[in-house]
Amino acid sequence: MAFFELPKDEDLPAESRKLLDEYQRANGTNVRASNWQIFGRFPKIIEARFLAWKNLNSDTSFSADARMVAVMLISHAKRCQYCFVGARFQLDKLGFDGDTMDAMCANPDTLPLKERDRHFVHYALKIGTDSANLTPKDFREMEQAGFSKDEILEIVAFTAYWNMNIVFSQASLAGLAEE
Amino acid sequence: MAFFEQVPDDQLSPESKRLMEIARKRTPNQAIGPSVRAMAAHPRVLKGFVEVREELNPIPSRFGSGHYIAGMLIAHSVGCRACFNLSRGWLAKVGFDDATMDGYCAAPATLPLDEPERRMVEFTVKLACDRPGVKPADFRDMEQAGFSKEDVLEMIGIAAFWNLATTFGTAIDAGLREE
Repeated sequence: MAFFELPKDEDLPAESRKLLDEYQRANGTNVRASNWQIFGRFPKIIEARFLAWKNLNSDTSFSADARMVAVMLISHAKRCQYCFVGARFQLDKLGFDGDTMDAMCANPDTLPLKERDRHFVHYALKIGTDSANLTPKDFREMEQAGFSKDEILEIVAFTAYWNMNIVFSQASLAGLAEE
Repeated sequence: MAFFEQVPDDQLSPESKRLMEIARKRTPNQAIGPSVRAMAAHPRVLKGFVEVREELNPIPSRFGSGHYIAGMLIAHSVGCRACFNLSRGWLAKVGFDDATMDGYCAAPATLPLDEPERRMVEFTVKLACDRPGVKPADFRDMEQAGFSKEDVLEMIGIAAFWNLATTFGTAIDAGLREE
């Protein structure tokens, strides 16, 4: 028996249902994400995650290809099965096949992406997995790679969001696992 | 010269001023830290950060000072100076001295806290820093220690928040260092 139960939709407060619907629509799926649904009885957590998802992850100039590849590689590095599978689902819809995705995970330094997307993924992965070792030089390099200061803050925000989301996902998965 | 600039109050939009006022109240000495001032260059990022902090890491917390002890230990573990100093500032304000806090950081596995607070801190730090090590049995242990499922979901939210905050904190701190 799992520690957590997924609450049924009809048991959720209306404000949670509304945000979960919107999140689901934006992700183009007809299935509720269990790592969100599990928090459904806490509208403040759903609202916090939804606002963070919108402000830090979604409204950005970076391509969906770049963002989803970054999520796949960060979750691969951090062993978040939930986010990894979710990112690959989205990449599949964007036209990436399984072999290409496997190759990107095996060798994240040679990604078959446009140059700007490749730079985005490189820096997101660096911030996502090793932010304590960033130096001022890294930021100058990002600027030389063509990113504005606003865009660099967006890369930091995007990565921070996913580092947060991975905690929600991994913890949910462990709490929903059968004992 | 630092890569990121700290935005002074007189250059903030009305909405950013409102958010900075919320951020100011979240500091122990009513002074906004350099990372949040740098974030203010991008109002949407500032909004995303401030809003998620209000919802996931509220003051006062149902876990008393436990959420800031957890924050200090998570920040210490990942090397985030901004979050470390902020957490210690709050703990100092409620009566923790430096020697006590140094002792917690030196030996996080043997915290001299009351049993419920120690369990809360250890579990939250584990969620933030050692998620692949979190097992279904850990959740049952927390329940047997007297925590409700709602408590556990809130601890996940706190751990998730600190992962977001330390990613922001370490990255922006690097961009604020003089070259």
